Amino acid sequence: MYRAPYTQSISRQNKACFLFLLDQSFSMEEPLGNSSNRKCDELVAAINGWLQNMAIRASGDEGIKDWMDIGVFGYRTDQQANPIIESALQGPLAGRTLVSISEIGGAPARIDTRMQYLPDEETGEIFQVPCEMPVWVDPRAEGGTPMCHMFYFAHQVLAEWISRHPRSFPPIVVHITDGESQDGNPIPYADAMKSLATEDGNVLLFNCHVSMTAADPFMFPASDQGLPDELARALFHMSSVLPDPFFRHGQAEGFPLQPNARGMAFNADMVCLIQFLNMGTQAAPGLR
Amino acid sequence: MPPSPSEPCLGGRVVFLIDESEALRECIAGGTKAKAESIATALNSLLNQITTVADLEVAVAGYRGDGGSGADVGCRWAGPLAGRRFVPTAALAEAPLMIETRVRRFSVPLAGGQEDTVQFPIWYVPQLGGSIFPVLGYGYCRHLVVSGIAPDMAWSRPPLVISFVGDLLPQQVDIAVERVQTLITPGGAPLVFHVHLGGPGACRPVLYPSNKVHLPPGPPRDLFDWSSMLPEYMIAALRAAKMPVSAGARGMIYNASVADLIRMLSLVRTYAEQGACGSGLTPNPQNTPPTVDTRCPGRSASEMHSESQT
Repeated sequence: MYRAPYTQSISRQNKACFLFLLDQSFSMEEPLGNSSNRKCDELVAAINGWLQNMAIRASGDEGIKDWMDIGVFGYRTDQQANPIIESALQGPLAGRTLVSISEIGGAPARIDTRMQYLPDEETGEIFQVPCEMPVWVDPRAEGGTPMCHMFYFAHQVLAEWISRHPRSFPPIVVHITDGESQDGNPIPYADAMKSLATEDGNVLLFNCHVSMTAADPFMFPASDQGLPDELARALFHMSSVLPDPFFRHGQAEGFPLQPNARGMAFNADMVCLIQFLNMGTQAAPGLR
Repeated sequence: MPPSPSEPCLGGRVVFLIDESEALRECIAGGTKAKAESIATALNSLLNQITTVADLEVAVAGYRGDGGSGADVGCRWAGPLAGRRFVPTAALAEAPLMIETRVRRFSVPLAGGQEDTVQFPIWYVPQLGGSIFPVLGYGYCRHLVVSGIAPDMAWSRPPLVISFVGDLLPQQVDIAVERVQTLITPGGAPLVFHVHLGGPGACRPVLYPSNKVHLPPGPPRDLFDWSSMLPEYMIAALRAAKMPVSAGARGMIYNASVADLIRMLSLVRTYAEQGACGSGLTPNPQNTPPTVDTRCPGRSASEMHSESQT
């Protein structure tokens, strides 16, 4: 019986796969637009927050449901310009390629204390209170941007995962960078990765460009017209068109999406980055 | 030249313009109370915080249906302040409508829940009515902003209008808002900010957008057009509070939560503190005499004042 693509519900039997590809090049030292914090700090804060939310969401009476595998990879170069592609997970999960959400939830590298701002509805005040924040990924910023190597590595990881989960919702790859590839044209590598498919559809690649300028961001553009430069256009052409469930989720979230909108953000600040992560990863059936 | 210390000076004027329609009975996003109650709590809390700020005048105005076919538009001071329009912040502390004992309650994840009781003065109590055209509220606001201006008073800041809107419907109020934004006062043209609160299940909030592409088409984008740009010192204050705000951001929050509401109102405290006379900040350099409405060039402030008294 025919079933539309990108409709496979995520469950223990049909796990999801999320891959985060993090640019760890030297330029990630720069401050993120509209923030005094470094891009790499804001990026890992967003990723750690996402991992925590997913672990909480997967929690039930029987512990954390084992319904997704997650990989977090960083890419940079060493001093001889050799590419370094490795898992960005720290602590007990260091070096692991793909890790189930149940393992993630149970094994953060450490628990940090951060200040959180909470409103009090009775008095109309906002309080600054300390709260526990589990940390899985630490910031890193050194070397260049070997994007082609990153996509090539991700292709291998995903091909192996798909062979074990042929009926699952296809893997979602979220790539976050601040600059151009320094090891060639990444589009063929990205296209090869996107050509991988489960029975439910092709691998989805969503690209997010973070910027130190406070320029207006482009979120989910439907055309490369109006994008500011070659990098933006390259990211646009690498990015998947939002499948129907994502498109509808985005519209419900209030994004003014045009038909054929792509999973791409350019000049993103922290708010856009978090919105992008949520949009890219919460629209899959069963995760809402 | 800034006003000398001996010169009569007004640090600024703030008008809170509140849509008091039934739409505000809905629960606020991120909270447990009705939007109207959340606005009242945040507003009363703010008024309590700025009672020590000198040289500032505040008005709380609302608009709603009167139960029949008419409209009830006007200032909402009650108790000792009933009938007033602008009240100096220094006079607020002596004249709350009532003082409630409230429980300040917040959870501290590392230390469990904490609570204590506080005395909570109340100046504004929301009363909701039918929905009426916001144009009536903005029309009243336009007269209110320039009412009772002393002719020899220097201002160190433009007036600030914070408009709380209920349902966002396609309504032609752009001219009414523009007529507020283009008023000429001794402090310059008013800043007009807008607050739209999200309800349960609201989609993502949009806070201080710098471009309307971030907003859904239709009334939310109209709200963007009607909102003034944030001055630099407010952008700096928001960034200091870890809010990412772009250059050119508008004074507008859409689908906001209770925390967003409280943070937005904290801009009034920033406005009050930055605009205090003698702060060294430059007031309106032309020290434009009061007051000519650019839309009605033949009418003086005193005419508008007497009109608004009736």
